[in-house]
Amino acid sequence: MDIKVSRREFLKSAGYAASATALQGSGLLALNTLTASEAKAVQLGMGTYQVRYTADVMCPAECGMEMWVQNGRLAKIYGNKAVPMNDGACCAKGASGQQLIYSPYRLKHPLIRVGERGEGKFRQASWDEAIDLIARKLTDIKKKYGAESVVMDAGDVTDRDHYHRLFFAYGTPNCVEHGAICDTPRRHGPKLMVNGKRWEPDLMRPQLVRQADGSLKHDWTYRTKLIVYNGWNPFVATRIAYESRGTVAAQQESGCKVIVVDPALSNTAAKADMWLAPRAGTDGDLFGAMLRYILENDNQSDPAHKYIDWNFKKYSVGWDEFEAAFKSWWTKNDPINGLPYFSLDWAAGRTGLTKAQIQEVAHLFGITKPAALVWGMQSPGHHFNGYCASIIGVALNVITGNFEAPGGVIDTELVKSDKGGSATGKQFKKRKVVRRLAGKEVEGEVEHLHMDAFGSKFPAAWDDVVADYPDVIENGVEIRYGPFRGHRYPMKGYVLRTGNSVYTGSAPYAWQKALAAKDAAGNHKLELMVVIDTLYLESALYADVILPEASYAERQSVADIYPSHPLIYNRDAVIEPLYESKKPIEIMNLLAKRLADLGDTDLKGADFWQKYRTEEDFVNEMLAPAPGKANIGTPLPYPKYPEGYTIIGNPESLEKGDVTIDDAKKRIIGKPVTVEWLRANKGVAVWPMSWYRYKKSNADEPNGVFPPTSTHRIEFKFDWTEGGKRFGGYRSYNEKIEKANNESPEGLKRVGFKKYPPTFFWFETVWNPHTNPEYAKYGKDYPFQLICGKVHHAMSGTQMVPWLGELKTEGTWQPLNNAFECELPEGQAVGREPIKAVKKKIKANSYSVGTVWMNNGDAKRLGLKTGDLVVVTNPLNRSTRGKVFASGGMRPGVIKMGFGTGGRFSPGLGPAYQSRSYTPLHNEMVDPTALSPIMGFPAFADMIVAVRKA
Amino acid sequence: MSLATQDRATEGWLPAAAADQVVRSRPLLAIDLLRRLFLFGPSDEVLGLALTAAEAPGGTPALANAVDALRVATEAGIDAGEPWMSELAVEFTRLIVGPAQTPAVPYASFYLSPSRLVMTEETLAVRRRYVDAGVARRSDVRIPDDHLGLELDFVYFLERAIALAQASGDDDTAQASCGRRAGFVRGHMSQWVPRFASDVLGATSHDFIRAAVTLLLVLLLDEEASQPEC
Amino acid sequence: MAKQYGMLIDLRRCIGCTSCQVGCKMENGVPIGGFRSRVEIQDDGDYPAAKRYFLPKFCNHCDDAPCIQACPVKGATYKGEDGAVLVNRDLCIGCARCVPACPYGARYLHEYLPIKNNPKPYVKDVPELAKTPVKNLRVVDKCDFCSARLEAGQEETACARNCFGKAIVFGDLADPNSRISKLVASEKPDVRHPEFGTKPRVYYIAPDKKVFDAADGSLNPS
Repeated sequence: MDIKVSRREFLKSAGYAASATALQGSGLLALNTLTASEAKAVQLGMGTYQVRYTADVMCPAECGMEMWVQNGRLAKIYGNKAVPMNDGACCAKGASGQQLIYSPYRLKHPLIRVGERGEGKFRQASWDEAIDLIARKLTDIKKKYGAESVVMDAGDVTDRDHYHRLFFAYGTPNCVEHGAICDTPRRHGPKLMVNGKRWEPDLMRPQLVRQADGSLKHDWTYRTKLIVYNGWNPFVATRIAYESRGTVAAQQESGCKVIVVDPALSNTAAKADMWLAPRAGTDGDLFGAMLRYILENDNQSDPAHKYIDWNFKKYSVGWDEFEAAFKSWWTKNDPINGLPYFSLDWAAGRTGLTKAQIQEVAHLFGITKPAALVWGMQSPGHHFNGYCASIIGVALNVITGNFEAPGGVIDTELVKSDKGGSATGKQFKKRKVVRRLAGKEVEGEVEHLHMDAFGSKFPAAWDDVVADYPDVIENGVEIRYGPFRGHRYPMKGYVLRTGNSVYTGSAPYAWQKALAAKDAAGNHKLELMVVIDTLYLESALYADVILPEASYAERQSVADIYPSHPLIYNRDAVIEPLYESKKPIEIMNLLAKRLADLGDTDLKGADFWQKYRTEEDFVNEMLAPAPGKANIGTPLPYPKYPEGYTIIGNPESLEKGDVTIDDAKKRIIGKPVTVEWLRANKGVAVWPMSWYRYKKSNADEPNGVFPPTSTHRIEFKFDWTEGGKRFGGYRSYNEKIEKANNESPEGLKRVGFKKYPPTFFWFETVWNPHTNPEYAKYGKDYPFQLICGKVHHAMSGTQMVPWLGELKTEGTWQPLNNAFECELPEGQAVGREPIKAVKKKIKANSYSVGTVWMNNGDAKRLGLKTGDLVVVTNPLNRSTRGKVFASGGMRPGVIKMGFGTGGRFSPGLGPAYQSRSYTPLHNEMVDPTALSPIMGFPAFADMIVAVRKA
Repeated sequence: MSLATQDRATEGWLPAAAADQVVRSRPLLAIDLLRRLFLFGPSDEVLGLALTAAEAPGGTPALANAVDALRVATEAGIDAGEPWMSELAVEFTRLIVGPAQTPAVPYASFYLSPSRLVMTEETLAVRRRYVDAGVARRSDVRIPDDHLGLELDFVYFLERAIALAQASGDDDTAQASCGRRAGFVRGHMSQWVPRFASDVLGATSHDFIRAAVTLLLVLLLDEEASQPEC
Repeated sequence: MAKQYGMLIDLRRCIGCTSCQVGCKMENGVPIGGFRSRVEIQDDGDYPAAKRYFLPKFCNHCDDAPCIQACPVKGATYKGEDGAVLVNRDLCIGCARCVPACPYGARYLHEYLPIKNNPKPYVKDVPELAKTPVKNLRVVDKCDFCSARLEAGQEETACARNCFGKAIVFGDLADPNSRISKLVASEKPDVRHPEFGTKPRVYYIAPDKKVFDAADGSLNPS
């Protein structure tokens, strides 16, 4: 039969079958019929306001929010007064949430790619079809290459657990999140030395404190006397609410002095008592010089020079080894300037600060107590050698007695409530799997297939190496360590959820090349790319399938925060998901079910769709271990319970004594924190604050609980053997190397290390002609150091939000736009519609865009002024364009661009897309091969450039 | 979205064969086609309905012409083979789905409220009309109530109720549903669908989509020309 | 006695975050390009002595308000019992005479709010009204100390609620025990441009007076 005729007959029968739907029930497809009482209930519910307590997810600070909903629409947004994180305040970005949720730029339906990757051509698909396509491809990849060939990148930390659970169960250990491209070198010292993460000043108020009479009291007193923020800009970058109000409050109320160390006059620097602007990438130099100065000038008998609180030795191990290793550098001369390492002269030569400035900051930090030395993502976080600064920073806080002191510095990771529990699905990584290696069947656990933890490059990258994926896609993975040593596998599937790695995970061109790369047969090397997001960002241009995820106000989870005080809060779903977007729990269950239907026996109903029928089911499981912190510190949070035991349960039950004590497991178990409990308590659980958690509450000796390191002491050495046992933060990684015939990881080789060092270490950063002789030759042709930094409200998710476009912020976000016309959401003064979308003409120089911020003297020398378009070029022959903002608020010889603010090439970015030809794409300048040696982190802030008028 | 309906069994006492005939009239098939197109995108069912509707009885001559034009476009597409179908899906997605901003927006609120956004007062007004007629969005459907596909689903529901009631001689029910349909189509859909249609027609030269949108306009015009009393 | 509202901005605590500006836009539905409140951020000076100034600007709710004198319609713009300078949207004829009359630029025409009052009777006194078709006339808008929130019993403005540095203090100047009264008494705060003689009731604690020059300028673009 003629193929066209048969097609016609086939379609007719499809049409006939479809029309038969009308014979069943009401014949409806998307509506359904209501009983009279149901109709009445719907009618009555219309018009009233509901107040819901939730958390913001427009930025990682995730403040507690109070949202007002009317007729299913988000009408007002305020801060939640019950949450001490933000104490009732809501920042500019948070208040503009409606403009994002109701933005015309949202992803609305599942889409399947029909053009080339990057072209942006898609067709609408049903959820059934999209899920089926993904599940079939995943099944195929698992059969052909193994589940480990699929990477699940949850982008945002928030709500990652649903997706990680799914993919751990599927059988890949390669589940990652935003932290991998956030600031891992910054967190290195705390992780290595106290098994923590980020250190922030003790500024969250009010604090809930146990009183001598047993009662609890809210304490608003600020105690901090000095804060040194090094490359940390809480007023603009990651807007930590308690640090924003606490820094200025401490200045006013406790006479606190604030020193900001930053090449740029950040807003935080603008409020500081002292602004020190060193060359970029010299944070470790400054910290090293401070440490040397303090060690050399400490005088315990002179109150004016009593810097060190030697009690720290009781609660730590390895100081002598650390100090000896540090001092061994004092007698060596630096090839770059011929001066002995860590001396004031040496540091002055490298940082560009004066000797007197370095001496002053060292002295002030040594003598002022309580004080907090804080280093941020924009300094140690983004430099190749940030590890060194981070480790010295920990040492400086500890030896001066400021760690865990009231008003001192707090490791937020060791304070924040536990969450996740068994919902995270980590248990699936323990599943046994078999791989054939050199003709032999080898058994190991799913975990042992992790491309970083057991791979050839960065086995100590405990937060994964997202920036390396372009190379992994093109060249595959070599497992060098663990049971599967010698196993090689390709990266075939990439499921990216709310991240935008093409744009943010180091140089976009490296990503674009890898995602488009094809094998000899003409098939994409990466066989499947899925993007799950609320917004249409650059990475989605490369997706084979796009799934629209519910926006942050439309899905429920638990706030992920870094607080200096123990608390947790509910991030409630406030409105229903719009369009065809779905919540993570639904996407998880749909995909799990489909994989199971296709025969994957690793996905079971009992672990997914039968277990979690609602979001609450999942969140309750996440909340089950909260707070999970020990009853330790001074004052003891719960004097009526055994010291050192782990506390589990909601504050109410713990206070009432409604608990069971498990002496075997050393646990105090109250009634669990649940969604229901949180909703009844304005969304938040706050537990009592305590300090000096490393010692017993009634004696100056370690409590054996805190910090959670191998010795439960602060560890200044990282790998050592004592009494036949091996200890330290680097122990397990070095053991892996030893078992693998001492084959060193590629990352370490780059700085000449064979193994992870046993204590203090030092190496130079890259692309820095002032500190690393290897790059000195570039200094003349590329006279500017290029740094980057976040503008809180000008990231991917917010560039289409006009209320935020109307703001100026530092030099990197200025009203330097060309005139443009664009559809924009608008607020409404009357009526019940909170927002309206209008086509609007925006005048030139009235709407903020990403800029090239430089010193005004430098600009003058180059014949440039604010508003001039320039081309910025690096030694890798890459360039980007932007308009100059020239001011005195920048160290000469340094240029700053906002992270994510310019060159936005997805039409989903609205106004930012309009300005892409004259706003700088900072990441285009990043060296995609400069991944730092331990964590494989992109050296975002290590680059030099030349600038010329366009 | 799953196509499975979750509703109660058909009420009434019309013999199955008679009911079958009623729901296979041209106007119902045409509305069925359009609601499927706008709810789920182009599909074999939609193309099949275009062919089936062309052969079905009932409706005005204008409707017959519009359906026939759609049939011609469909058959030309069948002759052109598989690339045509994929081109249709891509063009439809570009015109009204996304991911970038689309030339036409399938929501009443976009055209009717000053807001030009979803979930506005207009959306709620449509929700009220549904509830008054005893229907509501299914709980697993999150597209706002005033999406063209949902509105057509509602029109289909009313049209079907009218046809079944008329065939079984239940004049009161037919009358009530007629009034609702007239109110909804004249008082609401005719206020925005022509503007939506003109946005689509101004942005595409694709024969099938143009014919489908023209059919949509003809359905509205037929309603306006008809007697409100049925 | 009626409350006498006022506002004080402690610039020592202002971190330039603009939460007040956007919180206000959200609360009051202020269109793009118009402002009831706005933070001016200005860089000044050369490296290394460079500074940045933050100056949040609002209507000053002057006790001797030139905008009220400029209004041709009795009661269209008026001093409320609680001290706030308010606009009656039912009476405003959109003539915009008050806009340039305010030396602080605190007023703008709201592009989405057509006038409700009949402007015809005023054309004699305000001849420029005749130039604009009635359908194009828009009511004037400005900060009203979040009167809708106050009426609903929330005694703080959206800007004060959202202030990240807790720099904005809103309260009753007539109550000597209120926080604002105590701060006005103890800190001897400044007002913007006292030489205008308008008696503002929005105060600033400004250790560096240069902020008033460096970050001066109209609240709304002229």
